[in-house]
Amino acid sequence: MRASDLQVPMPMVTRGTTAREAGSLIAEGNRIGLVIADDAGVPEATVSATDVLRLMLPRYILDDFSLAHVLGEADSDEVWERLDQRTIGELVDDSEVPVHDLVVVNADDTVLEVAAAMAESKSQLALVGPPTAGTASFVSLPHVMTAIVEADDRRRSSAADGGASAS
Amino acid sequence: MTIQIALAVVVFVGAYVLIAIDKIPRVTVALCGAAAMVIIGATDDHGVFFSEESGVDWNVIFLLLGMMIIVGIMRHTGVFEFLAIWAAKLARGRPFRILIMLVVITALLSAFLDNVTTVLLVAPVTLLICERLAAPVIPFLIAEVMASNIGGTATLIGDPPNIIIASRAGLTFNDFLVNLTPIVILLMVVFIGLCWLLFRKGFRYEPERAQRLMALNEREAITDKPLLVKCLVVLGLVLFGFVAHPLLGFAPALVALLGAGLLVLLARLEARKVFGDVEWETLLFFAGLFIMVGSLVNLGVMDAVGQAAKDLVGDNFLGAAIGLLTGSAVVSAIVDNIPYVATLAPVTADLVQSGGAAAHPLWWALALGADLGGNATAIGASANVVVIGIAKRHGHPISFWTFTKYGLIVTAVLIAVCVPYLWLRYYL
Repeated sequence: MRASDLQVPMPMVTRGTTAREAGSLIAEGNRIGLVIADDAGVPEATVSATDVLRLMLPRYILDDFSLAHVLGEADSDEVWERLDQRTIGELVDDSEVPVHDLVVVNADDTVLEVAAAMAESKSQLALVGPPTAGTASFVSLPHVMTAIVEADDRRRSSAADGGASAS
Repeated sequence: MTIQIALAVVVFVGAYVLIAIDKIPRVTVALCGAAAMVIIGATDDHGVFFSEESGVDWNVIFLLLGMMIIVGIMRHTGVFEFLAIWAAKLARGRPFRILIMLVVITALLSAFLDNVTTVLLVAPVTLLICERLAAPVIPFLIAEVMASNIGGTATLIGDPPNIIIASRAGLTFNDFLVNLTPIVILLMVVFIGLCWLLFRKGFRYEPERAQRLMALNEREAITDKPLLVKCLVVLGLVLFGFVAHPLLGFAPALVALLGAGLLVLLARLEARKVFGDVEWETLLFFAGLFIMVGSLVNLGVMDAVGQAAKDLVGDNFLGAAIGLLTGSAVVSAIVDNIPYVATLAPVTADLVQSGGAAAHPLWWALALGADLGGNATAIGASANVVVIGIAKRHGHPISFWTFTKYGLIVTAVLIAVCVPYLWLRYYL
């Protein structure tokens, strides 16, 4: 199996994308992260879904997580009122957020090559092919893991078949 | 002057300048400076590790380490957040009253905790309170960091310069309580008055907003009650150990280390949580500074400076105290007060040794000037820089001049209050 067999199109966000828009993209597509594109629409980095979650939380909660406990349910709803004011650009500029440089793999790379590239960069997304403007295709971590487990399943069943024929 | 002395002075002044301009991490500067002193032969292994006069002051290092461990464990309990919200609710949602409560709490905490730790604990909860009240954040943060610098002056453990002074002068926790705590209480009263003059215009009481604040449940902030009880017991024992020094004879550093060890045993937390808040860089910075200053002591430079100071002062110790107070405030407004006090401590020790009891208040003048001077400018104290960073991250930037215009007024008034205190208490 090659990278081209695992690739899926991914929507891209920009620095100006709001926390609400980014959150919606992740929630609706059940995604593990987002791809950030530059002004020309060329993908340049990826960010994980948990880091987008950081963007949605008030900064004082990030500085002191125990403050989340002191707000009641009605008050908790109010803290989301600034989702439209926070943008992906803040994540890019935040030194505490590991915005990953784009991991690029070739369409004919094996699953092992893709897995190694993602593990090395600790990224959950890898771009297939050179970065260009427009819609891009990405391999995501769940797809890679599914391919690895399926490959192991095939190996086990063929080993079992081999053992059965030998006996 | 020999080439070795000239080189040592160049290294020392160069390090000072680099620390002041803050372009290279201060720990790097201090350690490189210390290494340079060793290379030029201004000190050696015995001087660095074992000399009381010119080596690393282990009392200071281990007192800081012990307190950092205790505070690091204690902050996992949520007690500081509880205190701040409880105080704000006690003020019934009235912004200026809340400011006073937070300022008092910050000063109190700061008397026992490092100033940077205090503002890191108080700032997030302040932002939550201000958001609930729709109150301006900047006056709160500026007032709190200033209260932290004032409150830290009150005790031996409140501010690193006090720890250095205590170690070099052989002063006890109780000496600080008797000599500095009363004036700090008076300074806090004056400071609250200044807050009223400087900040009250920006505040407006809105009953609906106040209700949002009153809805906060501070009890939920306490995340680990058994740990809180253990922390309070150990902290109580540590404070008893400091106060009972004449009875027990344990140095503050030993008391802090014993307390930290006991709390580590009782807390049973993973190492990451126990030691995660220890500022190793700060401890190394201190070590580097002590080696640099100790090198100048070895070479006789500090003796020469001390002699010059003695010639200048003569018998006029009141004048010297006022000069040291105001001079220290001015220098600490520009330069980190830790290297300043580390440098001035041997000189002050010389003056006190030759002047006897009449010169002893110079230690208090040095502590007051160095600690309070940090309030004068945005870069005067590490806590100021930290709070300005927090404010910027939260979308409430505080410019250098915004901070400094308040800082200069507050520092000038507080130092002016200290002058009659020194005169009336020690020289009348």
